[in-house]
Parts: sequence; C-alpha cells; structure tokens
Amino acid sequence: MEKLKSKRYPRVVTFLLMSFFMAIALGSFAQQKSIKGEVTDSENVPIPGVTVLVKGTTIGTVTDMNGKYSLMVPANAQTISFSYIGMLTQEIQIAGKSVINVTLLADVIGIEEVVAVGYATRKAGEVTGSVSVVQSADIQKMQIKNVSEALRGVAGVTVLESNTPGEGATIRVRGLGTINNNDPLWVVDGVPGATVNPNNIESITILKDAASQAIYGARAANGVVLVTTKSGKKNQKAQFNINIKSGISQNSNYYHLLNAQEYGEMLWLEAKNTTGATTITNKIYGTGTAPQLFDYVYPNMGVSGSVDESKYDYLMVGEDGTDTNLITKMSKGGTDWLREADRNAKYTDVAIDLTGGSDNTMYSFQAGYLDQEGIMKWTGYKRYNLQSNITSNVTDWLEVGERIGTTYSEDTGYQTDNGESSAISWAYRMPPMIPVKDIAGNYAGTRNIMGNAQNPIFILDKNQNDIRRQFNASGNIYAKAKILPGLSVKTLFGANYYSYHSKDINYVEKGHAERGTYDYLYETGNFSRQWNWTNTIEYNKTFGSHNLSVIIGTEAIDYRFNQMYATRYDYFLKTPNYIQLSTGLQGQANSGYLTQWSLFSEFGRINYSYADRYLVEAVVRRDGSSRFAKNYRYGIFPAFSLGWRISNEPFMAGTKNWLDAMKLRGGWGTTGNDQVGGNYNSYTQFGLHVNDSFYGLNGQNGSQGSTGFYQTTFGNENVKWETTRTTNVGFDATLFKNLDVTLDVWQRRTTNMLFAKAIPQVMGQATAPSVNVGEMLNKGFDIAIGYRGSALNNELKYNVNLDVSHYKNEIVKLAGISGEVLQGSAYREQIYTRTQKGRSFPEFFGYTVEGIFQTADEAAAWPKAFGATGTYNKPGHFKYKDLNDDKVINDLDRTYIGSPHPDFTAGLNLSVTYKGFDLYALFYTSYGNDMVNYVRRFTDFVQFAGGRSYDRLYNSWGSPYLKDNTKAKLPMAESDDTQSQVVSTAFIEDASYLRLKNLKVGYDLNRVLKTKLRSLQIFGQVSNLFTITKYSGLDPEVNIGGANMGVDQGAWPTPRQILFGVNIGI
Amino acid sequence: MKNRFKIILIAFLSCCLLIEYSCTEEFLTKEPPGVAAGGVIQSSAGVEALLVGTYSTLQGFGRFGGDPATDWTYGSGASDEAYKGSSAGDQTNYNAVERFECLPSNAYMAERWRDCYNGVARSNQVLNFLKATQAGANKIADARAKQIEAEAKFLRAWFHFKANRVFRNIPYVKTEDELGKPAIEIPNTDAGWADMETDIQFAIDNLPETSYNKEPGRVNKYSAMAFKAYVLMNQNKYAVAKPLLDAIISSGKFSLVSNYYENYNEATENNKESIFEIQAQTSSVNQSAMVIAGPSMHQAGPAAIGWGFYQPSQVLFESFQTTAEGLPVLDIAQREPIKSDMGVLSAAEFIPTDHLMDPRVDWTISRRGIDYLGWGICAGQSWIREQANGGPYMTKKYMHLFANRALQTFGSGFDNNRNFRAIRLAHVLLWRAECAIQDNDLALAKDLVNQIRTRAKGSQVVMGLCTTYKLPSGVTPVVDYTKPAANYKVEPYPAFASKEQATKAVQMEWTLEFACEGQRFFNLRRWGNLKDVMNDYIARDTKFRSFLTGAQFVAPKNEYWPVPQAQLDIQASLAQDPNHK
Repeated sequence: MEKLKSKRYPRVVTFLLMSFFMAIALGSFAQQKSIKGEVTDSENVPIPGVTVLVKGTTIGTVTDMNGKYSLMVPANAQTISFSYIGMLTQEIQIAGKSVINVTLLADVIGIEEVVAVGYATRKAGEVTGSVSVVQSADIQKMQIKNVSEALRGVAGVTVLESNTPGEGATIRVRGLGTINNNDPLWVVDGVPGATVNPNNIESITILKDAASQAIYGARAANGVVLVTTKSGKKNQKAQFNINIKSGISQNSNYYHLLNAQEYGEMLWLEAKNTTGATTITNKIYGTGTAPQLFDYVYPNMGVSGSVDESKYDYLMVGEDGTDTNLITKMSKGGTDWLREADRNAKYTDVAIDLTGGSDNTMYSFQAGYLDQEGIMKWTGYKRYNLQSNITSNVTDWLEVGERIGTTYSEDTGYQTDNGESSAISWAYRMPPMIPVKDIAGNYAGTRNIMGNAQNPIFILDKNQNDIRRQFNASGNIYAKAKILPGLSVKTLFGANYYSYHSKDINYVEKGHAERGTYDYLYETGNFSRQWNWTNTIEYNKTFGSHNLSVIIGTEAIDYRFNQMYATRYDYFLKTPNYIQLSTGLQGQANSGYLTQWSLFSEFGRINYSYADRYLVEAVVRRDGSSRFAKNYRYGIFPAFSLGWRISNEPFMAGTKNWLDAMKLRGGWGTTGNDQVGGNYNSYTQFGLHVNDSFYGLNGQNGSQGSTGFYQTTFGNENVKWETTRTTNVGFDATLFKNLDVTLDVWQRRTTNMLFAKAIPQVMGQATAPSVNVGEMLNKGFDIAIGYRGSALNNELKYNVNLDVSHYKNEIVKLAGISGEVLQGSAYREQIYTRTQKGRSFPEFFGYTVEGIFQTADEAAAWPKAFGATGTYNKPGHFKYKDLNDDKVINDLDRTYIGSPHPDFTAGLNLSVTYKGFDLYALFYTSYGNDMVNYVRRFTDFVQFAGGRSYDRLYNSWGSPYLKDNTKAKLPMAESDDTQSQVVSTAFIEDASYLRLKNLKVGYDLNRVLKTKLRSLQIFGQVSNLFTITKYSGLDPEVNIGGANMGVDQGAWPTPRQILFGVNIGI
Repeated sequence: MKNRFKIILIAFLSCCLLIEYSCTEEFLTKEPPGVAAGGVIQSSAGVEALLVGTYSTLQGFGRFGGDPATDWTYGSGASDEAYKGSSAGDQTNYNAVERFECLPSNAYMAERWRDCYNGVARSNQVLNFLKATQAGANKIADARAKQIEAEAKFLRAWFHFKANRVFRNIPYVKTEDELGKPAIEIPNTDAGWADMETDIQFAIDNLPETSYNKEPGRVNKYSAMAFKAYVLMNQNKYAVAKPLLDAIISSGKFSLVSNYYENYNEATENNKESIFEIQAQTSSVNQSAMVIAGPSMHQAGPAAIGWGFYQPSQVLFESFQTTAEGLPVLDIAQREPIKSDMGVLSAAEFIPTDHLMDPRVDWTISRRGIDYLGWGICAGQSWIREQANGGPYMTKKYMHLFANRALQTFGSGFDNNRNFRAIRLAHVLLWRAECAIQDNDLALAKDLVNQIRTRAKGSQVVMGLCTTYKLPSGVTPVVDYTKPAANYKVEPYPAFASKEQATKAVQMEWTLEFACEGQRFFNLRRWGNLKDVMNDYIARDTKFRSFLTGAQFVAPKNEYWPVPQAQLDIQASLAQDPNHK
C-alpha cells in the first residue's frame, strides 16, 4: 500500500461499516451498567464515529457528532476498547468508572486505512494487489486545478497534461499495454466512464495490477481509477467550507526567430547558397545584393515609392469589391507573433461544500465555479458544478443513497493544440515582416506577400465566439440491505448523461494566402447516455482467526452515442449572433451518426485471511460484450493474489522496535481491453458518401450526382478480447514509525492484441478489421518512499514522499510477418514513429546524422545519398550514416534513433507545517525520454515561407556570422533543400526535464485572528516555477500518446501560474 | 414485517438477475446503424449503386500521389512539360518523382497503387454482387445485367491501365470466381495487357452505342473502342488499333468542337468531341470533383485561393513558338529562347514576348501580361508562390473561367465542376495519324494533324492586349479587349517532307494540343524518347532554375516507378520491379 495521504483518513466508509455492525449488535443484550464519555483527538477535537466496544463481546456503540457516547455494559465487563481506523486503538479498564474520556492518538502507520477496491472496500493492510490512494487532504494540499494533477505523484502513473483551458491529460498506468486505446477506466461512485471535478473528490484509488483490476475484467487492462466523492459523516454538525483561489497564468517560453531584417539576410544567404547568385530579386525585399526594407509589403512590393492609401479595398469579388487591395506596411522591426498572441490569463476557482449528518442520514452538497482563461488570447473555460450525496439508513437493515453530480461547462475560443494549425504553430509559421494589422486596422496576412500561414491573432480573435458547451450528469442511486449478519445485498443503478454542443464560425481571413470565399458555420451536437445496473451480494465472516469475505455480482452497461452535425455558409451579416444555421444562404448540409455498445458481466471475489498474517484473494469476472461476434462474445478474467504480513508473525516480535509493519504481496491475473477496433468490428459494412461514392452520371454541373455505394469496412467475426496477464510482487513496510516504503515489481503481457492488420490493397480500400495477432510486454517497477519527521518540539512537521516509476515496453509480436512494422502518422510526408517486434511502442525511426560535410572531397568520398544516383552529398549538407555499409545511403540505412519513453519518472513532494504555516512543493522529473522537435522542420529548414530560427541565419554552415564551419548547428541554408529534412537524429532531442510543478505556502489565519471560524487558511501557490531541460522547443512535456507519442508539432506550453487563495471553514 | 421486506427484496433482486440473464443475447447484439449489409446490396438497386460507386473512383482521392484522373504527377510533372511548383518544401515526395529519385517507400507510390486498386476492387465487387443477384430470385433483366457486367469490366480495365502506366508489372485482379483463387495470390508478372484487352472487348461487345439511360457519364461501345485503341497504341500495336480508330472516326458520332477551349469549358462538357469524359460535379453539399483545381490555382491574385502547384516549364512555353508560316519549330535545338518574367518583380517592367505563338499557349499557360480566364491580367511574380522554385507560369486547364464562377456551388470554390476529357476525338485523330505514318501514308497523317491545327486556327483566342508593363498590385492595367492578348499564328502543315518530319510533327501536336493533360511522359515512353528528351530537358531546365540540378534520367529504371514497399511487405505474390531493386 503506497501512501500519499494525510494522517487523517476518510472516516465515512469506516463509519458506515461500523455502524452496521453496531446496529446489529445493539439488538440483543442485557443492560446492566451505564458508561459514558467523550472521545477526542490529540488536539481536543471530538471524534465522531469511534467504535466503543466491550472487549470480548459484540456490545458496543459509536460516538455521536460531538464525540460523545453512552453505553450499557454487562456487570461483568472488564475492558472497553475505543477504535477508529487511523487511530491507535485504546483499551481502558472499566474498574468501576462510569465516565471514561479518551484521547485517541493517530496511528501514524495508518495501515488500517480503508480503500476502495471495486464494488467494495477493504482495509489497506489486507490489500494484496497493487493499489495507490490519493485522499482529499492531499488534493487540498496540492490545490489542484485538474483531476489529473492528483495522479502525478502516484508511482506507476504517467501524466501528460494538455495546457489548453479546461482540457484534461493523457494518463497512463504502468506503460502502454496495447497499440490500441491505453486510457484507464474511470469509475466514479460506481459509474464507469463518468467524470468528476477535483473539488468533489474524497479519494482516488488507482488499481495498478491485475489482481486488483480483474474485478473490472474486460475494461481494466489499462488500469482503473476509482473515485469516491465526498460525503458527510454520521452525527456531524453541518460544516461549511469555502475555497477560493484566483491568480494569473503566463507563458514564459518563446521561439528564437529572426526579425524582418535578419529574415531578408537569410533569404539572400539561401539564394547565394543555392545558385551562387549574389544579386537576387525577392518580391518583398527587392532587387539587389542585399535585402532592403521598404515601407510597404503590399502593394509596391519590393520597390520604394508612395502608395495611394485611398485605394484601400477590403471587399472581395462577390461582395462588390475588386477582390481587395489590402494595403499593408512592412513591420520593419519584425512582428513577434507569439508575444502578440499570448497574454496573462486570469484564473478563478470557487468551491463551496456543505457536509453533515444526523443519526440516520448523511449528506454532502457541493457547488463549484471555475473561470480559467487560456494563455492564448480570447480562449477560456468556465465550469459550474453541483454535487449532492445523501445516504440514509431507512431501517436498521436498509441503507439507501444517491450520489449525483452535474457539470456544465463552456469552452471558448480557438484551442487547437499540438498541430500545424494550433495558434502556437501559426505564430512560428508567420513571417516577421508582416504586421498584425494593415493600414485600415484589419488583420494583415500572408496573402500576396509570403507563405501560407494564417495570422494567429486573426484566428484567435475571430474564433472568440466559438463555444463548446458541455453538460454532464452522472450519479447513482442505490439500496443496500443487510439480510443476515455478515450478509448484505446491494443494488446500484448508475447513469451518465453527456451532451455537447459546439458552434464554430469560420470567418474568411481575407488577408490569408489560401483563404476561402465564404464564412462558414459548423454546429455539432453530441449526446451520450450510459446506464449501468450493478447488483452485488457481500458476505463477511470471522471464525476465530479465519476471516472470510465474499462478494459476487452482476453488472449490465448500455451505452449510446449520437451525433448531429450541420453546416451552412454565406452569411448576409457577419455578426456572431446573426450567424445561425437557418440564416446561411448556401450549403445546407448535415450529417450524423449513432454508435452503441453494451456489456453484461458477472463477477466474484473471495478474500480469506488467517490470523491477520496470511491473506489470499481470488477474483473472477466474466464479461460479454456487443463489440464481438456471438462466438467470441464472452471472456473470463481471473486473478489471484497472496499477502503475508510478516510483521505480525510471532517470530518477528524482536523487530518491533524498528519494523512497524511489513507485508509481502504477490499477484497474478488477467484483464481485458475491449476499447478496440470500434463498436462494429465484426460487421462488413457498405455505405455511401457524397464525395466517395457519388458520381455525376447525368453530367449536370451543380447536382449531387447519382447515388453510389461502396464497401466501407471489412468485418471480422473471429475477433475476441485483448488479454493482459499481469504479475506483480511487492512489499509495504513501515520502519521506525516514520518511514514508509513500498516497492512493486511488475510485468504485463498483452496477448491477442488487436491489430488492424493491413489488407493488401488489391482487396480494396475498405477499413481493415482488427485481428487478434499482436503481443506486447511491459515490465517495470514502482517505488514509493515516504518519511514523516518533526523537529523543534513537534512544532515543525514535515513529510517527504518520493516516488519513482520505470517501465519498459516491448512489442513481442504484431501480425507475425517478418519485417512488419507499425508506423505512426505522416507529418508533411515524413513518418517519425514506428515500432516492430522487439521495440517499444513507438520509437523514432530515421537516419543518423554524423555531422556536416566540410569539404567537397569529404562529400565525394562518402556513400551516395540518397540512392546510387543521389546528389545530396556536398559541403554544408548532413553526413548521413551508412548503417549497413553498402556504400549507398537509402531507406535501409534508417534505424531506431530515439524513444519517447522515459527511463524513469519521479515525483518528489515535500510538505512542511510550522506554527500555522504550511509549505507544499512537488518536483517532477521525466528522465531519458526523447522528443521529435517537428517545429524545427518549419523554422530551421524550408517548409513554407514563415518564421525562421536564429540558427538558420547565424549558425548554419557557411553563414557569414559563423567563423568556424565545423561549429555549424545546421546545414547550409538553401531554398530547395528538402533532403536535410528527412527524419534523422537532427530532429531528435533529449526531452528530459526537472520541473517544480507546484509550490504552495499557506498560513492558518486563525492563529492570529482567533475568529470563530472553524478554519481560515490563506495560501499562495506558484505552478511550474522553473523547468530544467535541454529541449529546445517550448515545452518538454507534450500531450500526445499512441502511435505518434513524442512528436512536438507546436503544443501549448505549460504556463507559469501564480495563485492566491483562501479556505474558510464554518 | 422486517422479514417480509427482506423476502420481497430478495425476490426482487432474483428477478432482476433472471431478467438480465434471459435477454443477454439480445442485450449484447448491437448492429451498426446506417449501413447496408450484403443482403440489401444483392438487388438491382444495390448492384447499380455499387456500379455508381465504382465510377466515382475515376476521379481518385489523392490529389498528388494518387491522381488517377488527370495523371498530372506522373504524366506531366515527371515529364518535361511541367514542374510540381509551389515551394520546395511542399509535397517533398513529389520532388523525388520529378528528380527520378523515388524509393519504394515513397508515399506517392502507395497512393497511386491504392487509388488504382480501389477502383479495381469496387469493379470486382459489382461483378460479385451481380452474380449473386442473378443466382437469386429477384434477377436483373438479362440485357441490363450484361451491360452492368460490361461497364464494370471497362472500369476494371481502366483502373489496371492507370496502374500499369506507373508500375511496370501489375497484378491483374479479377473476382475470386474468375480467378479461382483469392486476389492476394495474383502475381505481378506482366503489364496485364492481355487481360485488359479481354475485359475491354467484353465491353465493346456488350455495351450499347448510346450510354444506358442516355447518361453521358456512363461508358458506351465507342468509349470502349477508343479505350481499346488507347491500350493498343500504348503497346505500339498500330495495325490492330487502326480499324478501331477508323470505326470511331467513320461512325459520324464525333466531331471536333469549333473552339479549342470548349474542351476545357464547364459550359460545354460532354460535347460532340468527347468520347470518354470523367465527370466532376459540385453541389453546395458535395464535391465529386477532380481534386486538382485547388492545387493548380494561383496562390495570389484575384483568382487565387489555391496552392500554386502544377507550373508549366519554360521548355513547354517555348515549344508554342511558331514560325512566320504559323508552324511549330520541331527541333528543340532550333527554337528561339523566349524571355520570361523569371526574377522580375511585378512592380518592375516586363514586356511580354511579341514572338509568334500558337494561340493554344494562352489556353494552357498562365503568364504575365495575359488575361487569366477573365480573372484579370496576370501580374507575374506577385501571383506566383515561389518563382525561384516553380518558375513564372501556372496552368489554366483546371481553373474555371471567371464567367463560370457561379457554377462553383461548393462553397470554397476550391473544387470545381470541371470534367476531364480523358479521350476525345483529337486523341483518336492523332493516334490514327501515328498509324498512318507507320503505313507511310504521310498525306493522311498530315490531313489528320491539320484537322486539329485548323480547328486551333479557327478557335477563339485569348483577347486583351495589355500595355501596362509594370504591374504592382492595385494598379489597373490598360487593356484593349478588342485585340488578341499576344501575337498568335497557327497554320496547317502544307505537307510532310519525310516520315521523320511527320513523326516529329505528330509528336509535337500532342504537346501543343494536350499539354498539361497527363499525356507527355507516357507518350515519350511509348515513342522510345524518354531518356534522350528527359536528360536534354534536365540540362536545359537547370539553366533556368536550380531545382533539377544533378538529377538524371536512367533508362530503363526511371521509365516506371517502384512498387510500393508497403504492399510488397504484405502481399507475398508481388515482386519489385527488378530495375528498382
């Protein structure tokens, strides 16, 4: 059991369990003597829900919300025990007392924590699988803005955050188990696939090995994240918490690009390098031996002379203009596009929660509001959420409850990320001599001037009214009945509804070189609903030293997703409010689709322990999925695990002075993945599409043509589940009462990996079906070390937690054809990633650059690139390695040249409290991972006319600014050299980094103000204060997974954020 | 009371479980919505719809590497008549095509293979479902069934033909019924001519003279005859092609349109000259288009929303020069250099040549100082994406007239309605002229060529003499639209002096009539001229711009392109062209 939690653990679940036992026990005993008292913690705060038991009997009670209890005990009772999970149990001799007040001390080992394990909870000490827990107190301490941040400090979990407002992250549990979907299964309050807001979370449990995952069977192979939302406690006075934080984010990362003058020099250098010409003509910089800066970039390009600005025309043909005359002055200093496009972004987050409980009913209500601006102008995200959790004991044997949360959000502006058309990319793709605006104050652009980029400020401004509205309601209602002592049944009905509506207006950028003619409106509506009905029967029994716990259940899940999409263009007015689907004059097109799946499952789990020392768990789940054809519909997923609490052994008594707890764990199991090949992989489908299958047989221009059909997919009825077998061994230990160590060593082997095995194209173009052919292996370890210490007479307390994770991913088999590879996507015709047998998924693949040719002799002597008749080799060009030594450089000389997978990732968090002050810091490092800096293909080489790097002018081979060509960072700057752009080590960079993710300082104002408030805490927080990396792009962390992992195409960089907040408890 | 509740609860839960179990199979069956499955397609309507779906692949999907409709990449860009254009860093796979440096991993090879065999597979799917339908209860009338089979076989042959233009040896893929084994076991041991001819002959024998339903987009007996002649001419089988060509010419069904540009105008599609025309239509919701208008539009200037690809070469431009007699200069070495505005700013002075030119030049090439299809006087460099890379010209054959812009009902205008006349009477006449030369009938050859030249002479020329020689943006040029845009002259040949001159004249006419229509590379290949012409071109062109510096055409290797490596990897029956190993 790894720990990342506060000393105060969630009381509610324990309380629930305890109250049931008590409720039953209370039914039958003879009353003879009354004892009462109060239970408090070491700070004299009453503790509700403490179990008060007459030792050796089942007679007992629990403390009320004021920590008070009263109990009738038999006359012969000797001892009363007070227990509460997370606290050291105390036993007090009655010795005739009628009032017994007790102060419980925290059990710093905390090993009796209760954790969610899927359909049930278990005491932490009894868990035999590999499980990590994050508690609300940790979340509170971190002041996270996104749920994924809470997972960053968990050993075995990697998080790649996206930096567009409101966007989530890519989360991977223990490497990558498949070439298909690797997203873990989220289960929020028993509802699979639901979402949650950080402020509502009571605890998060991450199931990391098959032993713990198998209870979720076919959907668990990528890990399971179980989230429990906050609830009230029994007999707890209403508590009202307000948490407000506000601050700003700013971008601190910029590309080093040439200004307008330098850009001209670079063009002259290119021309000289390419043709030898020293006098050239450029349509912007004129004719001559050197570039000149003129007053205008349009018109009168490349010449000086006055421009009649009265002829400015912003109207195009069809708008009664003569197709525009966008008079544009030269930006002589050069436009720094990214600095023009970004901004200081505001952030406000308000969370309110009210919790409490009476004897029979517990409640929790939360409301939240988040307003987050993006660091690129006119982007933002607003979120409103409500949550209500109520649990009530209707009778002593029946408990009913509901947990329902709703979230509504509005995501606005242009948020395209990590692509050639992200606002970041447009910023580096815009040439510097173009100003932001033309002489009339309209946005200036590349049209008639240079390149094909879009003005990022135009894009951001004109998309500011784009809005994506999302509404999500998810939750459950349940009833749980105790039928017999130890035997309970539970039925839970969960639902998850999601709706999405986007309105996206695309205005014509008249200044863009490749503009369209009309303003377009696109509207999309998505609706999904899922219900699940889960029934479980649970039985717990203790016979002497034997402890048995059994749960069996069934679950049915049904999912349906609908999309409607409509578009029109050509609008009479340009105001966003006017632009509606019904007001577009042309192009009334719409489309839509529906997709569904269902799952029916049976599952069971048995836990047996003997003498609190030997623990055994067996789990099995049988899943049936609509995604597979009849004969392969069902899959069975078993798991077994063992635990040995060595420290409880009598022979370990001698180590008690230093070894507080030690448990060995081992588990094996299988899980599945059905998130593969779409919902209809087994069906051969024929469809129609206006572009792909219609044809104008009638010869009438302007008509839609005759209706045609084509085969769209090849079905495969013989597909079954991907199966992942996981073995995990680990131990948890607590030493010297303050040092926790958890180590897990694991292996995951995925077989029957679904792979869309390429079908020879002589069979046609229809989408190939997935077939069960592949095999993947992951090995790794997770280490978590925590140390709690104190100094200065306990006034200074500190916790240090370090977690280190490592995985090694390997493809054991794809389809089994020799030489077969699986490639990533092509970016401008170059494919950067691939994998094959024996390699990780994915790795970078390309040529190896061994330097730059310095002399013609050297170039002539080198093996010819590319191909025997190749003409690439010459001074100033890359020296590509002849890998196979066949005296020619060609495809065969490519090899694996880097990996996006880190050697290890580590998180170090530190928290210190001192006299009301608390400090929290999280350092995060990813070490040994490479990245493809694809942006450099645009800025260091010729792709399109656009921003160029400082190095291209100053540090390229043959640059007049470079004294020594052997120190050149780049090959010679030429206007037509595309062969230096082939995938090679020149684009691969070490993207290891160390980042101070989070630094927070808080202070308890109550210490000085002595208010009546329960708590009054203020804090300041800085995120991403610094990053140490050699990576030359904006940010070494890029949110991209799957087959293109590690390709940086211009992603929103991680901003630095400064927040101040206050936390008020009433 | 308590017990009763418990009993009710247990009963309720048991029922729940039972209900769940009893309908599991139904619950777990989710059929894909909105798609048709085999049974539905197995009908008259279904088979006809699959046939339409097969026709629709004539246009191709890949704008660049695929391009099965217009062959602009392999037929024009790879030859001496055009450059890829745009900027050097754009579509870098194309650079390798132009420089004859394609490796089997080049993505263009895969795209071409994909687009061709996609059409083949769709044709076979029609035949499969036709057979199944005819074996069932709801048969298609026999007469129509034969026609469907003939249309499908025509198309199947067409797609194979498109494949063997680029790949030396191809697998000829028929239905599994016909082959007796799966398609993936078919090797690529030859060019597939025999199978192609068999399929086309079936089409000739079974197609009506007028297309089914009188739909101009469908193939008929004559398009099949012309296609067969096309295939035979590519094998230099003149004697076999001749009777087919004669039959087409003498049928009286086709005649040359009076204006050359009617072959490119959207308003005059499917006209009397057209024999096999690939259709393109755009409505406000779809673009069933040739996907080439966008690439080949200017990037700047009033007509500009394109990418600036497909730029005619200086060699092509100069080949339009005519002598005082209105005849072309057949020997390239004898041609006069004709100045271009390469390297001249739009704001600087440039006076277009006054050399006599064949008027077809200005329906083919967009150049400075000449009206661009009604969109305005081309201002030269400021309209061109990157002159130093792609030269000063653009092609006009895929962009629509300003006057026709209202026909472009697909919003962006990027994909237009323009059909592509894959075979028209002018093709047939020139093929027939080549046959005549083989027969030493130089008079007939001359007459045939002169039919085309006479039409060119009688055609409308591009009008508008521009006398403004500095064209900075925003300047309104002075244009006299009553005068021709340039100094045009084209005349018929008086006679062919020799077989050699006749051959050169016919070959020259192909260039003048069909420049930038994807013919040039393949014509040079069947004539056996590729190596000499291309290496001469590389030498000439490198004096004009730097792009081809160091490139070399090696025969026989570069006569064809390599089979895509990705297909070799997954289809054991395929072999790489030995020249590309």
